[in-house]
Amino acid sequence: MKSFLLQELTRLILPFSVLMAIALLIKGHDAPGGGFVSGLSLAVAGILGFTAYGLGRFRRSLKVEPERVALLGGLIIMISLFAPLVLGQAPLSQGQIQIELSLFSLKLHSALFFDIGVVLAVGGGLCSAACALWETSLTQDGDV
Amino acid sequence: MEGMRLSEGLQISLTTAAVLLPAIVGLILLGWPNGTWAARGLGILASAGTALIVLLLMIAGEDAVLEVWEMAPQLFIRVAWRVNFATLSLCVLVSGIGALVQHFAGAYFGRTDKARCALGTLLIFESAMLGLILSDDLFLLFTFWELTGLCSFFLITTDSDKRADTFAAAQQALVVTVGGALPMMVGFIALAVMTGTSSLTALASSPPPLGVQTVALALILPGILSKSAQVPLHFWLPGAMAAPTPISAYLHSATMVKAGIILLLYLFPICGASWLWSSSLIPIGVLTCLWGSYRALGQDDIKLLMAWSTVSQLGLMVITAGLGTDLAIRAATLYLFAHAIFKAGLFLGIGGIDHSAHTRRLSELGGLGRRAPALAVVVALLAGSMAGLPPFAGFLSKELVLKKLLMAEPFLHDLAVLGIVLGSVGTVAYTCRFYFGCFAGLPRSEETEKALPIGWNFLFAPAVLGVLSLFGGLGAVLVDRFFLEPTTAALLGYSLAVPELRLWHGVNVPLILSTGIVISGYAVHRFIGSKPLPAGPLPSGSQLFESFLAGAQSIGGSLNRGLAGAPPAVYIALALALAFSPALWLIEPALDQMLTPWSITGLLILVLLGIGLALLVSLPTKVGRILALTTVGFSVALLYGQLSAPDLVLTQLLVEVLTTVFFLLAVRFLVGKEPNESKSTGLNALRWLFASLIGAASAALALTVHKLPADGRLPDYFFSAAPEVAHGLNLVNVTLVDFRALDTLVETLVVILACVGVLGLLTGREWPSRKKSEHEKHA
Repeated sequence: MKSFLLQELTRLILPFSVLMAIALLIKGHDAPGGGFVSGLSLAVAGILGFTAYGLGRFRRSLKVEPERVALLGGLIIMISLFAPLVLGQAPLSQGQIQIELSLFSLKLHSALFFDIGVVLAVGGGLCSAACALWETSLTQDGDV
Repeated sequence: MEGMRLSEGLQISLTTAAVLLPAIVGLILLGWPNGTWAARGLGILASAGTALIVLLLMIAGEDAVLEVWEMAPQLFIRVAWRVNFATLSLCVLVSGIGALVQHFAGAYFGRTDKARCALGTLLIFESAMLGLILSDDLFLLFTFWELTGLCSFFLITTDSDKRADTFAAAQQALVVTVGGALPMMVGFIALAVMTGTSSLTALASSPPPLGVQTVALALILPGILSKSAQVPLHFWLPGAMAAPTPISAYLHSATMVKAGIILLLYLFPICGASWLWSSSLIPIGVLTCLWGSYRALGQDDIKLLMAWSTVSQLGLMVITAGLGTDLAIRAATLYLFAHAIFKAGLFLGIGGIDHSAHTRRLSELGGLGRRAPALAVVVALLAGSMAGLPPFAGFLSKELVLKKLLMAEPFLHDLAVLGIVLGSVGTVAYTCRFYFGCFAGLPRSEETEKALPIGWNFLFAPAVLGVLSLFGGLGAVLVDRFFLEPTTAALLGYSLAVPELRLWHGVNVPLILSTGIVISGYAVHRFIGSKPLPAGPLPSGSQLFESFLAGAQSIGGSLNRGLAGAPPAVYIALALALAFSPALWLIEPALDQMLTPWSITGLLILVLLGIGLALLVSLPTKVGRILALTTVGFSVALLYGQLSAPDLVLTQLLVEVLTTVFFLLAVRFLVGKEPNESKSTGLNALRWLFASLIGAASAALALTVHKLPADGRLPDYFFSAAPEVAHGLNLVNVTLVDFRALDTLVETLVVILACVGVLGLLTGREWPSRKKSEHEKHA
């Protein structure tokens, strides 16, 4: 049931969709985008990946289970909840660092860390749920 | 003395160390490897060490609110200790009795592994109790409060290998006290939110308005009354006697059940002006006092007798505190201390009797006085204090209670007098019944004839408490000057200029009352003899509790049976109807909103949306309908674009894609079950009606919300604050990750949980799955 056309298209699109997710994440603080949207597009990319290449290959090339990615996201969020406490701030307080390089300036913001957690939790969670649905419905049809 | 003052930093460290020391040692005991425990002395050392630290603070410290850690003051999350004479002397009481109980428990349990766990948990409990006493913060206090209940649960089940009923008793105690604490939490929140502070000191120095006081008190009372075993929430306390004696002595007589009274004393400056204070506390206290005394006369097991006597005396303390004058608070404080000392001693004495005669039944005991004379003397000291005989501390405190009573205002006064006098008569009667039943006369069973005197390792702790009871009474003047006066002053926030406490005031009304009480108590004892009194026709509290539990379970079960078999459509309809039926009232006002002008592009998008909807209802296959639904979703995204909301467009598009994918994946489960349209026209019409009503209601809701006047300050605030406070320009994202980051956090956790649910439902596998090989097989 793997289609050559879909595989080749995915090969083209997948890097760009991941790139887009990252861009949405980083630019999100000042321009449209943000962690949730980025996570959604990551999940869409994942779904595209396993529909094109099959679950087995998808999981092998991903190296890490999407479930674990979601858990990692949850962990990051909890860290960003409690980390400010250690520094004597209210939970979830944010701060920022401006990095000026010769060519461009990058604004690093502690909210980005929180957002990365959101990305991983949403992307990993939705992707793993879709994987499970895909896997189970295939098993039901009997064409694994 | 001035040179000895501790610095604030040192005071903070010492207080925190005093609270944490028992818990740390307790954890060490719990983690100690089995068998090899030479650690029996550790518990005594920890408790005694805490007592010493507290004494040091008492001598060299200053009254202060010690802010340890202001975690998030705007959320009322802070750790702060309140150090003054009252809290510190309560701490001395708790840790001192703790050390004695640890000493006694060493002899009582022997070197068993069970003892190691029980003593470790007991130490953790001690920390929780100290924390409860020292907390300056309502919510910190609440945390420790619940921790004491939790420790009590584990401690009651200590003997679960020997007795079958311990678990039920522990569960009952936990459910009653935790259940009572729920409204208390709401009361604390109400106090904190309405006054803007959760600090007990701040609240006491500027009490809230009377209305707030009453509301808060009404909510907090269930917690106090359940913890301090007041009728009708008292039944867990006799049940908790399933615990070993040292634990009952510590938790269920001397300390934990006093938590409610202590909180009452703390609350008096905050909520004491409310009309609810006296009118609720006095009747409840009177009922508890009388019922406890009566039931104590009906017990055969001396430990249960003592438990009911604790119920009765807690009632007495509630009445006294309920009188609501500063002098009454003073009397209640003295009685609290006197009671903790003699009651803990009596429980330990009962442990000694049990050890000596191997029974706790009055019908088998007797004649112990000749066989264990030292025990008889020690218990006599404690029982004398309980009955309120001179010259013991119990007499002193009861005198004070009676005196305050006679000075009280007429409001509810007669009831309180009646309760305290009758309760005290009962106290004398059951004390006689207990003491003479155990020690006088002849042994009533062969076991008791073989009773042996007990060693000093059993006698030491009750003897210390007995001597304290005696000297507390003899040294009345010293007690007044060095203990009661500063304690009351710290509790109330001002000093009371009242006559000094003395053993002998000359012949006055309280003395005559006291004498009358003792004589009539003894007469009652002679009259009813040693036979237990019947419990009466009322169902006992624990029966009611059992039927309450059974009822809750059967309601849950029938709900489950009724709903579990229903088709999903029923659930969906129920949920939608619940969510949207209130919005039906909005349809009419919303109609005016429909006539806003639209641009051409907007209209075109609307047409596209309409086409999608038409396809959705007319297409015959599920896949087709899903795609039609996606069309609708995409049109909505376009509409957002038209209204220049790029964030919404992005989100809507991605969500739409994902929804479609999930729908398509899920629909594969339904292969071969295409909807059967020709079922019945009636049902179809019903569906149409339901769908249109829901649709109309949600449209009306949306339009009405849109019509509500927006607060113009909000956008201004966010536009100006976002770059400064949150360092971002995208208001949507800044709100998500900064202003409302807590919401986002919870939502994200919900996403993770939902995925866990999906995986569990679909695959039934562990999450995250460990069976990699299986997927590889699939591939």
